[in-house]
Amino acid sequence: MFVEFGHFALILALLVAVVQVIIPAIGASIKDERMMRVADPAAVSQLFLIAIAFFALMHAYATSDFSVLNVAENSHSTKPMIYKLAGVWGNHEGSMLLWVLILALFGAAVAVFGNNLPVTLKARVLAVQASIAVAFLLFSLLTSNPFARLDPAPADGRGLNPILQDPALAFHPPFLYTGYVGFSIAFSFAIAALIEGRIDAAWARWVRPWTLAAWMFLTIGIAMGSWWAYYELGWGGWWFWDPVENASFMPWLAGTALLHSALVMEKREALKIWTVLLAILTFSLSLMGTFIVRSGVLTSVHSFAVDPARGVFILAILVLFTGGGLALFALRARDMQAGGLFQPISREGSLVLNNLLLVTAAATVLVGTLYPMALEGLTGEKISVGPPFFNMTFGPLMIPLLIALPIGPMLAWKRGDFAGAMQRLAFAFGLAIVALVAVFAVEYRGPWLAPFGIALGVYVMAGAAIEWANRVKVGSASVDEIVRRAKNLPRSAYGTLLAHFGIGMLVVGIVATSAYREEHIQAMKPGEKLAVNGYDITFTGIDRARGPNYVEDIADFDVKRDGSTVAQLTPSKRLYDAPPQSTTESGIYAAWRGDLYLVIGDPQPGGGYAVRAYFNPLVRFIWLGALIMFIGGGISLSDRRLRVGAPAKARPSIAVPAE
Amino acid sequence: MVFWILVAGLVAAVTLAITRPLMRPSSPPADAGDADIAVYKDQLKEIAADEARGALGVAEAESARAEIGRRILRAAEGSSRPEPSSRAAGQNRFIKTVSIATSIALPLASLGLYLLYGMPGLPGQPLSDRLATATDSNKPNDLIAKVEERLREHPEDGMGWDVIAPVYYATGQYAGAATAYQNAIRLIGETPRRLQGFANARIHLENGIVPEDARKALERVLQIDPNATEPRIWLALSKEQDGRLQEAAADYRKLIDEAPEHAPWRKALEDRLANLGKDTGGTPASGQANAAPAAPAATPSAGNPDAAAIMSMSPEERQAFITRMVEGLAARLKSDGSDAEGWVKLIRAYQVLGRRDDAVKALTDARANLKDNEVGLAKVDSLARQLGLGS
Repeated sequence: MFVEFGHFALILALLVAVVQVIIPAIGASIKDERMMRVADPAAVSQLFLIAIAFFALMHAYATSDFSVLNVAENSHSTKPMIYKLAGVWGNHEGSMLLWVLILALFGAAVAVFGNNLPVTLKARVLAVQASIAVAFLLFSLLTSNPFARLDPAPADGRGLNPILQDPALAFHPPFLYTGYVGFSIAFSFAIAALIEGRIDAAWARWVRPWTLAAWMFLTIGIAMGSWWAYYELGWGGWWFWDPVENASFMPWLAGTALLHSALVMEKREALKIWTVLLAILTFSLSLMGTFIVRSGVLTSVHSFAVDPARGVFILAILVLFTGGGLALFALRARDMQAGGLFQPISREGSLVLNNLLLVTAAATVLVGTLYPMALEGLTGEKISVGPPFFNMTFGPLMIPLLIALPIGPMLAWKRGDFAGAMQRLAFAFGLAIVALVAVFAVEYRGPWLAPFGIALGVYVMAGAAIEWANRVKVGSASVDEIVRRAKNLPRSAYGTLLAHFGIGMLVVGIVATSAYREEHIQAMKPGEKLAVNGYDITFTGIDRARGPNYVEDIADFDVKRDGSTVAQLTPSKRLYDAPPQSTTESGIYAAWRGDLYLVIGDPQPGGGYAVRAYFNPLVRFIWLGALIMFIGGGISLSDRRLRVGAPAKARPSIAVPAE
Repeated sequence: MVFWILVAGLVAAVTLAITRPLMRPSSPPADAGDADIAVYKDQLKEIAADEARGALGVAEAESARAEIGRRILRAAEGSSRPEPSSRAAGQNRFIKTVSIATSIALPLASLGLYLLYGMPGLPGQPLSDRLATATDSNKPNDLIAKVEERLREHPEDGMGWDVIAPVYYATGQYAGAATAYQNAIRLIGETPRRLQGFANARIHLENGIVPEDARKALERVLQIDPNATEPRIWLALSKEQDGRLQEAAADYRKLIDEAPEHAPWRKALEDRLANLGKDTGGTPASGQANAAPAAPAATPSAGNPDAAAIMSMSPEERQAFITRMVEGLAARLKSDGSDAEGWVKLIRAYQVLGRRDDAVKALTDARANLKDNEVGLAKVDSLARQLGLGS
């Protein structure tokens, strides 16, 4: 009964969404407040109904109700409870339901918290938001209904792809989707503003925090996916430039640009039109990600659906929203009032540079992702645009961005003082050069570009710290004064500090682990030893054990450093019962210098096992950096103040004496 | 019944919630410019607070105030009081229509769509309920689920495995069947039936190729029961797949000679023998040479180095290894073209290796060989479409 009730609730949610598009939109155009107000209860009801549907499906998973096709195809009675619950979104239909649930959650949040929004703007935003919901609810019900039934029910389900049977399944998709879908709010606001023909002051106040929230979750979602791939796929890679990864990375790049331009807009009312365009583009890239993953144009762990009808449907949604959004922009942008003016060397100017570079980077990734697909679609020829393409194009674009990154926050609004900023950054340059020399001294065998990359990362980290030190007047004020200033500094400043510092860490981690990774592949018999980057590893034996739904061969390794045991690693190979598929579980010892990473392979004909051992220097910096960025976003988000950018007074630019 | 009451309640609650704003008396919408000014006033308060806390310098606060002052002026200029609606009465009628239409359409449409797509009569079937009632309900799937549940709790129950194994086999779950037979053999001993069942499941799983473990099981059957025919047929086939064509032909001949007149497999064996005859009879030497490399492809568990070994090869070695496997498959299909799956693999392999011409040629050969096998032909055709090979 639960299942059918959920099905009904989902259908009702579709109709409520239709009402939420039509009535408030008419209301806004004939200026009738009553009709506009329908949007609020509609948005809340929609969330309520989709939540009913979602929990009905989850209940079916939890109780192994195999009369539900989706459960029978993707679950199994022996699966541990956490994977039964998380398995709800481990497949196409269920993950689509999670998608619309999060969409409804954002819509309802606008309805509930948006009391200070002008009533027409709110009605239009909710109408646009509901139109996205209509499209995806229709998609769900017509092509991928999670509530399709089976009668008679099969004895047991087919099970979940073992690679997905990992605690990360419980977190990675919800975070990632919150990121993807969160950008729908910025999109709805942009479209509403275009329809309205004006950008309210409240517009920017709303767009920035919502974009920030979406960006935070997308950041942590991508980082979790990367970490998951790292420890689960068994060869220690953390990013593959796989089209599916790119699909999440493009909205991240565009979203980062949007975040910064929304900042300019909120504080200075400049870059209004550009922000609107970015909001449309960012959400379009999110939709494109959905299309790439679900249309069956490629196959990977992520691509659930390989049904052409679904692909065509999503393509139609993509064309409708992207094309419609851009067309509306082309029609209406000219009528919008442009915002404040500023000099090229100013905080605004630096953020424009940031935007240009990020958008170009997103375009590069887009080309690298779509070109091979388009070529295959047109000529049937399969080519692979792998890491070399991205390293050659995306990498160089990041260099000026990273160089400019610490300079931006040092410049004042409206007109900045470049020389002063450079002076204040002298310390960061110094640290970077020290890092450069140090890395060259240790790793003199090359690759010779890597030390520069690490120095760049150090410079960004130092730059973020200096910006903070400057604002609290470290070095010129008394300790009490510094503490007082540090306390008074708005939380958003700490957000910036952490986010920029995190980027620096990320860069250091990426460069170090890509350039100085060590790799050994060897057949080992119990008792044999292997030396990897200062660790002595002894293979002590292998045991077979039974898990809840798999058989596991657990290898045991003793890891010693300078004669004393530092870790006991147990990489294993699992063979799952349903579906009968094997996975590798790596054994990782994480030290501050980097990760020792062990994988056990198949038994060798001559006895012994194939063992792969890696040393990944500073690899944790990648995810720690992302985590710090996430925390920075959270701190900034908790700062509920209104943002007003205080411009510097026009005066002859005399370098401020170094503080 | 409870279900319909819940549905009715849900629809009523949602409809009421949504149409409620329409029932209220109208109030003129606030002007958008007012909302802007409200925001700017909040900003001014914020600046004052920042200044008081010392977060903002006096000069900075002053210039920020000036900036917001300019924004307020701009907003006030654009602001204009909306005309009181002259069509208030007409509008009220319209709202009433909208609200009635919504209250009717929402329940009707949702119920209509649900009846179209939903299965209101089909109750939920949580596994625990099904297991509790399985023996009464007599539904085969529920019974299987019950036995599986028991085997999970008592994996050492050999009889249970013995019971479920043929059920798996009959329902096409060959991997499950092979494991179940294996467990039954381990726990309650070998019988010809279990060994034969295991071998059949393994052979099905390998798409008709006789793997090493199946071959061993078949040999055990013959040790226990030297008169059994089925294992001899499979063993002869396994020899053919290993490229020992002369031996295979001899075994086939012997089987046919001993076969009862109307044995259903007699015809199949004669066909196979005739096929072999073309290769071994015509040019026996070249037939041998062609078929020999087929061994690694045909018996994966015996001849294949494992994945780690392939990984540790140099790219050239790997390429050579793959080429050798593909050539082996090609040779096998040349000698016996009836294996549709084999053709599909071969065409795909050529495509992946970028040997498009060979892929097209293999496609033509496959069509010629499979012209009497509709299912196989359909498979090959669909692959050709998928890969965009000429039709």
